[in-house]
Amino acid sequence: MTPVLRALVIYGLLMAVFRLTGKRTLAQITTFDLILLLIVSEAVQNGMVGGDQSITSAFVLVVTLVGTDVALSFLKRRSTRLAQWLEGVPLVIVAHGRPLEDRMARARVDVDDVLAAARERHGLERMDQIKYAVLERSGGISIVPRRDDPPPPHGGPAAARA
Amino acid sequence: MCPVAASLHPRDGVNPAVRYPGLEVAEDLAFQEISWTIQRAVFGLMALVILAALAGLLGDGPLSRTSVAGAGLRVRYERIERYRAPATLRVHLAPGATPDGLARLWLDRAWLDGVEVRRIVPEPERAEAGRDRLVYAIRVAAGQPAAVTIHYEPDRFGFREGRVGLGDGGALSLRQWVHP
Repeated sequence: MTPVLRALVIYGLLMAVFRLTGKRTLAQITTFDLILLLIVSEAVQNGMVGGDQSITSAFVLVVTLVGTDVALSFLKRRSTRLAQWLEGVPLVIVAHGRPLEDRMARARVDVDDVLAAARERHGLERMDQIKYAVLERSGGISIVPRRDDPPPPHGGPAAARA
Repeated sequence: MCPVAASLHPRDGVNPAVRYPGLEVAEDLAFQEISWTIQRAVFGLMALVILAALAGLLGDGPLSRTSVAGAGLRVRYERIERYRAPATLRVHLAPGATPDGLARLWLDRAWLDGVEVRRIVPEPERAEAGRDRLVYAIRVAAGQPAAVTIHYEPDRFGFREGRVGLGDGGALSLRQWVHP
C-alpha cells in the first residue's frame, strides 16, 4: 500500500475513533492522557510507515496528513452538516448556575470538571457563580461567569493577578 | 431563580425549547442526540473488537489456530493472520515419513508468493526451485517423528491458499486470511 493510502486510512481511523468516542476523549490532557496519546501515536506509527524508513515516505505521509486536514477544513466551511459530523456541536451543560445533569452524564462530564474549568479560567468558587458552561466541540469546557456576581470582599483572583 | 432556569426540565437533554438568553451558541440537540446514539453503538462495537481480538478473529488467538493432517504430515498454522506480523507454520512429520533421514518438504509457489520466509528450523541443507514449488531438503532423525517450523511474515493481505507436501506424496491445503 502506498504511503498516501496508508496515511489516509490512519487519518480516517483516528478521526472515527476519537470522534465516535465523544468529545471528552483526550480533551483534557492529564498525565495519563498524555501517556495514552504517546502510546496511540506509537501504535499507529508502524501501520502508517509499514517498514519504509525513507525520508521520501515521511515527506509523503506528512504532506498527505496535513493536506487532508486542510482539505477537510475547506469542506467544513462549505458544509455545516459535514462540520457537525466531523467536529460535533457545542452543548450547554450548565445554565444559570444549574448543572444539566442528564446532558452532563451523557457527555461524560461531571460537576467537578465544570468547577475545575471555572476555577482555572475565571477564579470562580461555586456553581452558582456560573451563568453558562458549554462543552465545546474541542472537548474543552468554556465558562461564562454571572455578571451580576458581587465582587469578592478582599479582591478576587483578577485583583491578585493585577 | 432565573425564569429560564426554572423552565428547564430535569431531563432536558432532548428538549429543543430550552434557550439561553445572551448566549450565542450553535447548539443542535437533535444532532447531539444522534451523536450519542451512534456513540453508544460504537462503544458496543469497540467491546466486540476487543473480544474478537482476544478470541483470535483478528489473528493470533484460539480461533485463528488450526491444523490439517494427512500424507504423513500434520500442519499447524494460523488461518487468520495480520499483514507483516510474524507467523509460524509448524509441520509435524510422521515417524515413517522420512526413512532415509532427509525430509523433502515442499511449499507451493502460490503460498510462497504471499509471504516472506524469515527462517526455517531446522535449517534446510538446500532448497530446490521446482516449476510450481520450492523444495526444502531438511535433515531429520531417520524414522523418528520430527517437526519443522517455518517462520514467515505475510507480505500481502487478503485470502491466500497454498499447499504443503512431503516428497512425492500427497499435499495438504492451507487456507488463510490476512488482515491489512
